Amino acid sequence: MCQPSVLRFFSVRRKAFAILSLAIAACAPDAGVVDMAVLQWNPDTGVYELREARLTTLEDVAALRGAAATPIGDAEIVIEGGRLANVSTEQQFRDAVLDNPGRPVEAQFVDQGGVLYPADFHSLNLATAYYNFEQARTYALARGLSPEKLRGVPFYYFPTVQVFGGSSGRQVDNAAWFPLLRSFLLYPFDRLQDVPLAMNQGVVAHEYGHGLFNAEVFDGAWIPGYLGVWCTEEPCEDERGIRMIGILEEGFADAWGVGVTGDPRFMRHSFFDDGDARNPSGFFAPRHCSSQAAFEQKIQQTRRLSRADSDAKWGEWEYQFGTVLAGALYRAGQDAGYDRVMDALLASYRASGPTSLGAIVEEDPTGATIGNFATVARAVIGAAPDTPTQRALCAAWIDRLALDPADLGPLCDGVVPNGECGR
Amino acid sequence: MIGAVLAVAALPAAAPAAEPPPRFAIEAAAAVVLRDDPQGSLFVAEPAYGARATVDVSELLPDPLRLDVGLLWYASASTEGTFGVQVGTARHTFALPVRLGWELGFRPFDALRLVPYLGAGPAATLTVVDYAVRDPVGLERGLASQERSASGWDPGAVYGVGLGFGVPTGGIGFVGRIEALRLRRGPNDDMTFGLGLGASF
Repeated sequence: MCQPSVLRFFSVRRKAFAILSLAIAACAPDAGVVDMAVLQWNPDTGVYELREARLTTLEDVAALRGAAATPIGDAEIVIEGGRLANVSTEQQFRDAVLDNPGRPVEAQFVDQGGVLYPADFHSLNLATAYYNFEQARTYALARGLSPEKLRGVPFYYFPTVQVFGGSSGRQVDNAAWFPLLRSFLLYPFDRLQDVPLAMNQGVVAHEYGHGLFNAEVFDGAWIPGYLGVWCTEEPCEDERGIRMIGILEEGFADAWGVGVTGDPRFMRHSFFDDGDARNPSGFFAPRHCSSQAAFEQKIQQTRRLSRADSDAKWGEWEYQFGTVLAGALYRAGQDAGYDRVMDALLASYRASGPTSLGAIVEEDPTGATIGNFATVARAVIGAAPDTPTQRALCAAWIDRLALDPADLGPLCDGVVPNGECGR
Repeated sequence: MIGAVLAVAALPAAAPAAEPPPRFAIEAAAAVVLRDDPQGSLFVAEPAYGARATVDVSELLPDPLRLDVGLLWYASASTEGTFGVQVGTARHTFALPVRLGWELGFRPFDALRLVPYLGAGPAATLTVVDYAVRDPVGLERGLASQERSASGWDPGAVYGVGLGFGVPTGGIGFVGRIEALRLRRGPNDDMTFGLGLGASF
């Protein structure tokens, strides 16, 4: 039996590579602690600089392979509908799309005073990318991630990715979590000439956030189960679930980027011309205030569109609503401490039982339950580690998303909304 | 010191030299270096240039064997990256190869002498890396870009094969070579395809 499914790339940029709908049949020194020069964001100056760092999880220095990530170079990935017509298993998918599975990378270094300095641009890009994955993983482990999850997760470095249909051609200037290969993609740069995406700690942490969401909410599934349950008919009766998942993915991924770096404007170092469109800090009502009604109005706007056209619209709106969520989390973090808020976020994915996002998605027959900001807010607030964090989250979510406190349960009783959005 | 190496003998029976072979040679060198590709492909090609000086010591061996020792220097440089982050890499390889050759009896154009050879010797490579970081957020605030450098030596070795050629004369002669050298550079291996042209005296 064949069911339509959605092939998603959770990319850091919206236009180049948002969502692609396809029909898929559903049926040296060697290790240890290494001091290395990598590009890092300096919180004192607010800019990226080459600085020495201590990497603690490398198992092979030249291959830059370790518990945090496994780089794969020289891979060629071809995504074309005809190849996927008879794919029903993960291995079949890999065989169908990986024209060249790639090879280990071979970074080169100069040893200066016991510190390894990358000897060329790609070695610096790779070393910094590994460091960024290590930082993202360390942050997630401190929030309660199981050490076995995403251990040694592959990232394809500068792969040749050809997509036929949707956004066609060779993919460049992007980074993505690609659940179908359970891996990250760090594309070659072309027009982007600022801090390379692989060296932007926030961008890598954003993608790692997608990986975390997949690992926890979908239990690491290569095709999340909801894709075979919600919106399987054309036209889709209730799009709220699939659209909300996209919003949560992008908003929460940005929240991870901020958590790992401490830099709410991490995007600007690589997408300088895009300005502050995704900045969760510095309150700006048009960017940080929204509501369930606004969300459902957008759903109505795309109801008559084809699935492809609707996906294209939502490819942008997911980031806009996502920034509202990331802004609400950031605002709560100002009162309760951002790390406590991120503790709550990761716990809400799965660890906190029947009210977790994972459980809600699994048990939701249409997506209508998760497709409600109040449901999401309850899950995150309910997973908060302490009362101040719960109340800070209540105050921010009620205000930023115009939620009725009565819908959020007793944890939000008596909480005064922040009032920035006039609620 | 190919002119000296080429001086006298030929196979199967080297002709006696009419005059003493040149003892020294200097050459300009150019090469294509195939380096390990950090990105994981088989190699990345890079142009290199350099020089070589040799001293012929063929008198230690019977004809038609040829032997010389020399100093080889190869340099290469490349810069990659975005406007925001650029990395320039310069490498200087110094080697002391010993070359053992065999002068052929076959002589094109009569005077051109050919010596296929094997060569090997110790080497060391100095790598100098220059980093330039221009974060647009910093530039917007008037901060200067960051410039840093690092350098280090990697011990190693060279070994390979080549074909020397030359036209020795009583004064300054013409020498040259084409060769394929494997360069061990710390944990990395480079393959070098080189051409040398110079003078013997």
